[in-house]
Amino acid sequence: MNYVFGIALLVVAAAVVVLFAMFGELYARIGGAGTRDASGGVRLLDEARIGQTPDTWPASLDGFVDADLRVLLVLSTACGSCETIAQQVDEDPTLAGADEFGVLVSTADPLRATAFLDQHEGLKGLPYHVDVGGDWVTGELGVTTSPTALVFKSGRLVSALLFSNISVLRNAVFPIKEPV
Amino acid sequence: MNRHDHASGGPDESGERTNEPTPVRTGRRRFLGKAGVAGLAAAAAVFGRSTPAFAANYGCCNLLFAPSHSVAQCRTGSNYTWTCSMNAYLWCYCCEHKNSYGNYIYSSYSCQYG
Amino acid sequence: MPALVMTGMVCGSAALLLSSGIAKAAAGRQLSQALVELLPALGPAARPLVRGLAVAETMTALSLLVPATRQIGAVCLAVLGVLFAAVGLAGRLRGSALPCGCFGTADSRPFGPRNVVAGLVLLACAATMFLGGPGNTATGFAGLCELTAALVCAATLAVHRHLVWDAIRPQTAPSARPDGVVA
Repeated sequence: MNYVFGIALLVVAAAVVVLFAMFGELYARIGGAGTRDASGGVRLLDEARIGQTPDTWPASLDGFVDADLRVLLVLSTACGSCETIAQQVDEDPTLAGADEFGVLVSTADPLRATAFLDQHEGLKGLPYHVDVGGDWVTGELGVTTSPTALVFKSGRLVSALLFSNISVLRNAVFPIKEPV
Repeated sequence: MNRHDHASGGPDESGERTNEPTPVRTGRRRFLGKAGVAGLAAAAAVFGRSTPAFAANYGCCNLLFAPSHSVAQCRTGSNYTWTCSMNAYLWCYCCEHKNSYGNYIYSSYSCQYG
Repeated sequence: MPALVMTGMVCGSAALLLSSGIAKAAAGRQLSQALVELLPALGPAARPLVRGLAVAETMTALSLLVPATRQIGAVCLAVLGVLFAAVGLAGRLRGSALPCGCFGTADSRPFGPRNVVAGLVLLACAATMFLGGPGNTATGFAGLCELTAALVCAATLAVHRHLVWDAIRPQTAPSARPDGVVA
């Protein structure tokens, strides 16, 4: 009887392993906590210098200096997941020409950045800057991660968010106003 | 099971060999073959030279070259290092290393839980 | 060799191999990718190789628990230990970067020194078990099974601790500043 019980316990333990292994693989594929997060996949980026006002701004982003609320999407040609964000921007007609967004493309190779922008016309519809070597965004704001959204108020960095969906980001940053 | 009933390749009841292989010998041959392949693969993994892979997505990194060095090596000297997130679990460091002429010469990456 | 130590070695090794082998069988994709990164020539053969390894680990673990087959199991354990150490060394030399997936998880470290150490530890345990003889444990087969099952569950929870924490941590909504910015 003891033998049967021992073997049964082993079988149960094996089932536990299988369950966790399969669940773990599924969890990793669907994005883990990002999908269970109450904010829908928007998380704070710790490395950014919150409260910092950049000393200089790229010419194409000078609209950020005095604007009330602006969001700079930091993408990189080295970042595969940034392709997804770029596609989302392409596919969202409400983003084209939207004042509140800008794009910064960090890259090791300017030609790659040009190709990236040419491939995603939606990005070119927004104010954009190619940051070779990531020098500006790293030097001024301490950011070396993508895809990141930097939220500026009157040119000052007030929030830095990691995100995986542009619509969710938009709803998180720009509250939906109820009609009076 | 009577082996001779299903025999193919072994000697028949008259003692003369047929041309068809026996299931037992075939099974043993396949097993030894697979064991040999596994052994060769293990030996090649330890002693063989690395073959250059095509530059493609590694983790969430789009690299200029197939990775060939550790991230620690890549980050010495002039380099472009960026972090991308695959999901809440997994982060990847993507590194492009420059030579003294400012040209990118190799890439590296590492992914970890963060 | 004290019986308790032998018991610990037998159950620990068996639990490690069972956790690893069954996880590989259930979620071997990551390990296949890591092996292909180490040896591109493997190609489509990586998946069957991982399955074969999973079977080998599971059978070795079970043979360690049965006194009659323990010494055979110890030999198999030694072979696996050498294999793990060799793969770890190769991964270190070649700068492996993909997660190993040795326990079926995608957030594990690449092949490297940890695998070498694990392999050497298993080799040492195998040698001890082989030389110690089949019957020198503090408990019989049933007791070994029970202890191994408990260790397997503990190991699984440890390997997937991020998953467990993610499932049980309290969910909080992000606090929005008056200006509507998430912080």
